[in-house]
Amino acid sequence: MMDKCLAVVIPAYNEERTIIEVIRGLKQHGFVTLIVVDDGSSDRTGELAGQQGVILLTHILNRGLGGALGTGINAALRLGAEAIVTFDADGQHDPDDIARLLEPIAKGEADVVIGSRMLDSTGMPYPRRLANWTANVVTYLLFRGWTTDSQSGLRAFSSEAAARMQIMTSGMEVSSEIIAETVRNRLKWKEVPVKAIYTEYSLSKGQSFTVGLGTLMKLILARVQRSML
Amino acid sequence: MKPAQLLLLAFVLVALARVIQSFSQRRMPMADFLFWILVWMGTASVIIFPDATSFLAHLLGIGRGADLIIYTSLLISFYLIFRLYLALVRLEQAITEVVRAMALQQLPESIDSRSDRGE
Repeated sequence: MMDKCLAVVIPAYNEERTIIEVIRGLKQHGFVTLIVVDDGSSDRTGELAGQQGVILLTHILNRGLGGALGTGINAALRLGAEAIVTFDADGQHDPDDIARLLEPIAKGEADVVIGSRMLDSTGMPYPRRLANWTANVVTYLLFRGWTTDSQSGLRAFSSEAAARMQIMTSGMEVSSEIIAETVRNRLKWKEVPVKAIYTEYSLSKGQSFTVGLGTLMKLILARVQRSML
Repeated sequence: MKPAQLLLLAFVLVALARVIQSFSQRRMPMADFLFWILVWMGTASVIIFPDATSFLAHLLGIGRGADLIIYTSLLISFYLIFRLYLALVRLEQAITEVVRAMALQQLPESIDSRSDRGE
């Protein structure tokens, strides 16, 4: 599936330090359709990505991770992609893992595959583990979908699955919302272990405690909104 | 009439004037106009006849008229904050849709027709 029918969506907000490496890494692994969504960056993220020969979509205002993923997935579907992978721009993912993510989709075993950094969590700092575990429990309690890594940015969707997802939230809470949508649409899904490359930089890009609390609030409100739909 | 009543009444009159002004300049829909007129007229009558609230409070089993006013104002405030929150969420979603539509205009027709710069 490593041809034009696969689109890799890379949401990027102020990632000028890593974006080129991430794009080159993906290209070296044979992925040709890369959709970079520059989410209103104030640095040179968009300019640098554009020079690498990707499909660059620019948000003129910062809308958050959910907004950027929504745009990227929408674009991938319009381009006729058969499978869509989401890939963080901070350099924490290994392009080697994508093939394993796509395998269950190609075999028809799953519509949604989450790349879990927790199935083999060596190297993940302990505070980060605790935060992830909390996010998993919250996601399960609100949306009834248990994953070992609800906040992972490395995922794969079949185009049918992606087309059925209604992403309403615009921030970090989108990661849990994707799981909520998977459960709501009764899609088949599974987790596969992926590596996480933790550098000082990628760790600094994660959610701080206060941002995490904000995300928690928004998730609860999203849950309430869902029940009213 | 006590000084506090006069002060509060003056405030209500200013608020009423603003409501009427907004409505006459067509910046406020009819439903909102009636709602706010009712709110401020109600407030005015409570200021002029404070004992009426004590009567209502006793009916509801609340000790003092002043407590009833505080409870109802808190309830109304929370409700308005909730309405404001919902309006804000809708606004945020609308902005995202506009930003997304603008971004998607940069999209090539199909995967094959995209530029191959830098490859």
